[in-house]
Order: sequence, then C-alpha cells, then structure tokens
Amino acid sequence: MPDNAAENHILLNYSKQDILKELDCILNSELFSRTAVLCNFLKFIVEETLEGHTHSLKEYTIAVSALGKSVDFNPQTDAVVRIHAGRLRRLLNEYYLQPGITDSIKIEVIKGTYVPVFRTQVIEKSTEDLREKTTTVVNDTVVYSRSRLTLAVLPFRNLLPNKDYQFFVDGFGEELTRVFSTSEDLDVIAHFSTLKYVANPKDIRVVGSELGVHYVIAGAVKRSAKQIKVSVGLGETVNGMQIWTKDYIHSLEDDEIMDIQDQINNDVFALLSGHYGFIIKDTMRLVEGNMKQDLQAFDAVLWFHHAQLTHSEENFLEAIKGLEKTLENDPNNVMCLSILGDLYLSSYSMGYTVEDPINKANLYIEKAIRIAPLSQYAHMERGWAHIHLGKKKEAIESLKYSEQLASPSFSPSTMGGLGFAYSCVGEYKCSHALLQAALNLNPYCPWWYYVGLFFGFYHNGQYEEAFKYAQKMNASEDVYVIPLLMVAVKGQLGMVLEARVEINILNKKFPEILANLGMYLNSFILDRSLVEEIILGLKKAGLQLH
Amino acid sequence: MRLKIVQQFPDFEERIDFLFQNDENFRDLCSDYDLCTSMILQRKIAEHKNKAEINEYETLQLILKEDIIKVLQSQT
Repeated sequence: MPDNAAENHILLNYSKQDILKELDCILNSELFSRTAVLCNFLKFIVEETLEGHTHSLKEYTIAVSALGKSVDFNPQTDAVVRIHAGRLRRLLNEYYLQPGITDSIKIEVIKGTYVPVFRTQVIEKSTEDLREKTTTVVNDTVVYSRSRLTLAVLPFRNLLPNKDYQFFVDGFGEELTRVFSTSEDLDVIAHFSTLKYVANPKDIRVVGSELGVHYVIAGAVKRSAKQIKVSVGLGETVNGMQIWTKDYIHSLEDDEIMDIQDQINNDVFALLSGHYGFIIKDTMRLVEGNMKQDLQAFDAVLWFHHAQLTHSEENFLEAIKGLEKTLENDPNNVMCLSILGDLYLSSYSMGYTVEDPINKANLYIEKAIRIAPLSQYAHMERGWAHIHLGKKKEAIESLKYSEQLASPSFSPSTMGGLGFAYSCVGEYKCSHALLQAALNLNPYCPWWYYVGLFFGFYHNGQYEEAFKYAQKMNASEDVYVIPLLMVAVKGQLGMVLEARVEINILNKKFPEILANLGMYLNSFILDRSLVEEIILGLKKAGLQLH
Repeated sequence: MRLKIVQQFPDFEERIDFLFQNDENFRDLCSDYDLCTSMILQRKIAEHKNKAEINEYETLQLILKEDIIKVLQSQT
C-alpha cells in the first residue's frame, strides 16, 4: 500500500461513482444479502446523502421511504428505525472487519446521526495480521463514545511572520484544554492526542470520528505591526459546520502577551461552556419531540438542559423519568445524580407534582458527593437542599465551598447558579456581583438570573430596577413565580390597573399556590423579610390572599 | 438493563458484566434488544391490532437475541 493509505478523507475526495461502487460491494456481500431491510436502509441514506438531501434523513423519512412503512408512521411510538440503525451500524463494522477489509472506501453510520460518513479505510496490517483479525471479528469493533458531550481543542495555527510567538500560539491549545477540563458538562480530549493534526490537518468530520468528539475548537494567530489578532472557532464534527467564531484583536503595546492569552481563554470558556453556553445551546437541536424510549445518559442530560430553559412541568417530569432510567444502567453517574437532585429540588420550589422531592433530592446529591467529593455542581445542589430545609448557615457553607471548587475557571452558568442561590439566602451583595459578572460574560441566560437580581433590588426598595428585571423574565406558563413577582412589584409601584393581567393568571392557574403562598415562598426564600415585602406588594396590587 | 440481560443469559453473567463495562457496542446491542422487547410488550398490553407489526418486532427480537449470543460466545 502507498504511504498515504492511512490518511482519511471524506466525501469531497471521492466521486459519486466511487461511493456507489463501494455501496454495491457492500450490498452484494454475503453479510448484507441476507437482509433486505438493512440493504434498503443503507442504500437510501447513502443515495440521499450523495444527492445532498442530508436534512431529510430523519426517522420518519427513512421509515416511509426505505423501510416501506405507511405514511402514518410515528417515530415517537415506533422504534423500528432506531433498532435497524443499530443493526446496520454493527453489520457495517462486521463487514469492514471481514469481507470489506481491503476496500479502499469505508462507509460508516456514526451513532447519533443517520447521515453516513465516507472515509478512506486505514490498511496497515500484514496479510497475516489481517487473517488473524478476521477470526476475531466481533471483539475488536470501533467504539464511538457518545455518553457525554465531548470536545477537542486543536492546536492553533501560527500565521505570524518568522513563526514568532510560537510559545504564545501553542499556549492556546494547552490552556483551553485545561480550562475546559474543569467543566462538569463536557469531556475534553487530552491536548497531546490532538498534536498529530499540526503536521497533518484533517477535515473536522474525520477528526470527530477519530477522537470520538462532538465539537472541536480551532484557531489561528496573526499580527500586524502593532496588533495581534486571534481567531477562535467552534466546529460541529457530525456535519463539519463552523457554528461559532470570534476575533480577538489586542494591541501589543498595551498588554502583556500572557494576559492577552488568559483574557481570550476566559472569554472563550465563558461563551462556550456551562448549561447556557454555546455548546449546550447548539446541542439543544437534538432534543425535539417527545423523549425517546431508548434514552441514554447523553440524551437525558440534554433533556435536563431543555427542561432548565423552559421550566415547564412536563419537561421537568420527563427529564426526571429519563434520568432515573439511565441511572439503572449507570448507577454511579455523578452528573445524572446531581442533575436529579437539582430537578427534584426545582420541582419542589415550582410546586410541581413529584413525590417526596426533598428526600429524593438529598439521596441523589449525597450519593453524588460520596462518589465525587469535589463535584462543584453536587455541592451547589447540597446548598439548595439546605435552602429548602430552611438551614441558612449550612446552605451558605455549601454554596461557599461550591464557589471555591469552581474557581479559578468560573463559567457564567456556575456564577449564575450560585448568584441566584445567594439571593435566596439573603446574601444580596454577593448575589448581585455574581449575576452581573455572569451576564457580562454571557448575556444569554435563563429567566431565574433576573429573579436573583430582582430580589436584591426589591429588597432594597429599588422597585423601578426590580420592575426592569421582572419584565425580562420569560419561561413556561407553568411558572407561577414570574406573574407573582410582576404583581408584587407593580403593587409597590402603584400600578394597580396594570397588575390585573397577572392577577387573573394567578387566580385562574395557581389557586392552590395562592392558598399556601407563604409555604411556597418560604420553601426557597430564606430571607423572611423579603417574603413579607413580596406579600405586601401583592396585597397593594389588589391580589386577594387567604 | 444489565439485570434483564443477565436474567436472559444467566450462564454468562461474568462475561455480560465485562462487556457492559468495556464494550459500548455490546451495550447498544442490549439496549436495542431491551427496546424491542418493550415495544412488543406495549403493543400486547394495548391489544394492538396490527399483528404484522408485532410479528416484525418479534422477528427483530430474535435476531438481536442471536447477535447477543454470538457476542457472548465469541471469547468464551
């Protein structure tokens, strides 16, 4: 074989005829000739991809067009496409370990997508090795881990004249890898594993497949006489698209070079990481329709993020159900345990129907801490559990410890979560500083960041400011807190007529919460004077409370 | 899910444990088998009228079961 045989290439390097020829080889093989369903499946997705119709490669289309299902096929209740896709993936693996082992093109169906990938097959083994390999087919299959969102930071390109500042350019890959490795939401590939791409740059779809990553960060450094420009981009490996990019331009005279690097790295981390960062936001596209029945930890965590953004009761309950199911297979998954703690506690404070939420949350959180004593997220949730139990001192201790664990790589999501929690225990100054810092770093935030800021201003009697933040709150109609706070602040501002809309919503949709309002508010606001001030505002607006 | 698979193949408990820990493809295969089984169960409970659909799932279930056995026996 030629030396470059180990190099991988994607679609662009082949003609349609090459790929259709490989498809024919597969379909005519003994393995595939036994199963017409999988032949039709593979033929359909390959041909559609070659025609550029990758967006139509959804379960429904495959069921109707390739598997002969009727037009009323419902992918939410019928898992046949998903099951066949798994079979197809495994059969292709088997094909390339046996009869197709010498084929030059490899067609793959990577988990998480129905769009096939076309690559040059790596053939480096001697004939004897190959013979040996064919006898151990099933035990040496390619594994793509998709149980967590995974990221790789590629070495930045040095576009400086005379290769100046190489240490500065190299530092980006290493530092960003280190910073992102502190995130509990993402797995990050060791930077050393990405260094091979310096001399041998590849299509990011190939990089994604080789490293098993969903996203890659790449960048380049340039300079003019007085300025240095660093371009950073985020690419999605499944479809090879660049989905985010930002240029950082700094004067070389004003700043120390390493400070520039720290500033850029912190900004990239702030924008991309965390529950409300760009990566999770982009991944939300995968959460569509009803929850699938073959939920994995990966999907369940996405559903949690979805529930966090909408705060609808249905999404909360579905996320709880899905995460508990994934725990059956993966009982020591710290992220799932912490998230379940979070969901049960949030459900309790929102008045959603869940059984024994505090005790269940405590069980999950304490187990998470036993397994991972340094989990920042689990300690923050322990703080929340103390808040719900009315233990202010213990809550502050846990929140402070969580804050300590989060630094120095403090993502805006973590800042926001802690900031809101501090506002609920009455630590308004601390809360304000964290929430403002989080908003400065990433203006895309959940509605409850504004609740934290609202509490601080409302408590200080700055009702105009509080009203400003109440207007920014936007969540599912299941959330009683938003109309409630709006009525309270309108009451304090004398906007009695304007408060009628929200009063009607509260009376119509949340009579049970109004009947026990003190209990609900005290369940997550430990500053009793704030609760009294909110109730006063409600009464001033004309809301009848029992 | 691991328990269900062990219940189906009690003679292979150790091997199943090993594969669950180390082989994502095997976990996916078991997950598909489990999903298929639950699809059949759901349809039977709901007294689903489309017998062809139940038959299709039952055939799939058999194929997946054979695939699992193949993996379980491959290194024993």
